[in-house]
Amino acid sequence: MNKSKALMALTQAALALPGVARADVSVDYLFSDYEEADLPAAHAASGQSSERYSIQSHLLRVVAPVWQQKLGMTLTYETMSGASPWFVMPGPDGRPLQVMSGATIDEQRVDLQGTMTLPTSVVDSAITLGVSTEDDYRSLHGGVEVTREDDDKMTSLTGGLSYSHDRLEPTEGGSTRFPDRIRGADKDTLSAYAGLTRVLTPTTEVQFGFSYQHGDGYLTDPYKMVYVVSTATTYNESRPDGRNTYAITARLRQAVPSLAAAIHADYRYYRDDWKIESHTVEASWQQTFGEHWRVAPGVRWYSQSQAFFYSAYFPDFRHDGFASSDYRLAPFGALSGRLDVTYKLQNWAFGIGGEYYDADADYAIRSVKVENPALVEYWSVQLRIAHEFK
Amino acid sequence: MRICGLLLLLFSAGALAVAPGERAPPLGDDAVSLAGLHGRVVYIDFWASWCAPCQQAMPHLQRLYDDWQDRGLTVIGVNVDTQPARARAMAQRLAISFPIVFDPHGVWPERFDLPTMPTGYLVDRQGIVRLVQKGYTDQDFRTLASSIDTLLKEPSP
Amino acid sequence: MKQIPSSVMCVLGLLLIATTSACSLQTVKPWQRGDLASQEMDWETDPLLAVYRRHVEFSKEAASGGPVLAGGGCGCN
Repeated sequence: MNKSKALMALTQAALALPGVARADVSVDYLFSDYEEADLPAAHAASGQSSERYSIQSHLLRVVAPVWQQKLGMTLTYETMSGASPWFVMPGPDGRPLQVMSGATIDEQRVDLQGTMTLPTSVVDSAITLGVSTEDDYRSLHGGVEVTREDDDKMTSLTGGLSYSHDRLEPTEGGSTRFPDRIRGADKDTLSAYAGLTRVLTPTTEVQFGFSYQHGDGYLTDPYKMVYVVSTATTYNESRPDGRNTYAITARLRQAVPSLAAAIHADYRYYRDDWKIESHTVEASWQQTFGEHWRVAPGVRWYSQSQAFFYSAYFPDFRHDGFASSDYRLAPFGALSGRLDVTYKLQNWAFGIGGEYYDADADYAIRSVKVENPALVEYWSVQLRIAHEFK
Repeated sequence: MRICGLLLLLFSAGALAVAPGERAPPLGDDAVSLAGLHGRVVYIDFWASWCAPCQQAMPHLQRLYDDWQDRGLTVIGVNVDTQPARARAMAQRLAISFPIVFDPHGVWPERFDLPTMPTGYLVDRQGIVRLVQKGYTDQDFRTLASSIDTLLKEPSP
Repeated sequence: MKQIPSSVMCVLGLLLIATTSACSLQTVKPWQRGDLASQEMDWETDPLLAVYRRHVEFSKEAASGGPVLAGGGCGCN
């Protein structure tokens, strides 16, 4: 969840623009429709294909000058419906088959966050505060980010710290239907980030970052279960109550003025103490046509290894008591392609874009012995409108 | 005079940034030359089409030029776009009538050792730089306008 | 940290050193930043779209983190 994009945009915008830009009011709106492909019949325990998630998202961001500072507010409203993976059981030939939650989920998520630059002298800084609510979830978070740029504007250093407190109260917790489901639990997350941005040439910029996150509390998914073969029974999944994650990122922006275009290339290496390791490579070509059009095709490749307590289904209980068959902790790779088109006219910008994403064991960097049956495939389409009031 | 300017340019490429109190470098090309403007108050504005605060400053400078040209003010816009076509379009759109010099190779910014974009140099009737305006804010512009007014009141040499 | 493969650390470390060693770079002057200032060179050409995409990736994959601070969680399934 990314509150800090607004923050980055504010601080970096203030630094990247030559001179001191007068603060104008800007409004951005984004609508997205996200549709997951049905779970194939061959992967379902029921032998029938099943619908999965459909999510509609509205995002609205307003940036305005306030008390000689810059304030940015982003509001997200999301509606989700569909069935979600519940547990995995072996089929007649031992292949893992997915059992979906019967009820169609119908949920809403509302998220509001604000970022404000601070009047500091030696460094540029900003604070962020945010709240997020869903039917069963509440989150409160805050953070601070500082940036310092060299006098020659060739190098800038950024550092950030944030804290989040989340409260989960699962639907039907401790109910007759799910007596073992928890009624409520808390989670705390502390994260830190450091980054270095460097201008290499009049057409090249690179950025390196390191981020660390420490999670503490209830990290399990209360709606998911695992199947144990020895007892032929399902149990609530259980994850460790702590998690430390690390990520290293390297990004490149290379202008190609002769073609009126730019290359974007991003890499992220991730590692956590649940033994998950992942690589993300993303590249896009930003092509402008005249003064008004920008067309940007992009590709992304992702690969992750599994959590140490993950298995599609479990022959027997683990000694440490942990277990999960959530596909998001499974070994897999994913390939996605996207296309974004933007049209600018005076102080308006209109955009349309789409993405196709497919997760598959074959795309992973190392061979996967057992593919999770619920690896996701989705299409999403976005519409964007932006306006600057000058 | 132009040869002087050129020689000065060649031999002082590594000169220190132009600061208040110094004589302004002999900016010149076919259409515009500082030597030819001796006796007038000149504001040299370095701008580019890709620079948002530059774009904000231009209409205000145009207004000053309209109002005080008769009192002896000249505004010179030195454009540093590597592809001047975009800059020409912007100047046309903003209805700029003060002289524009196109310097796509960045010769004059190098000579002035421009600290940032935009930067403006206010030169008095004697050819001395009296103010270096870095960046642009509405506040800065008010100060600039009043400084120009003061310099215009100084007698011609 | 000691679990990150040394090969990855090596490559990134070399890249970091190569690009940050001051003596090898000519300062890019303020008037030479036209190409860097174009919108297609932004770290995120559309910040709102970036916020949305990061949220989707966070919900569907194990990895998180990157060149921004982490935000609040969600009960994303």
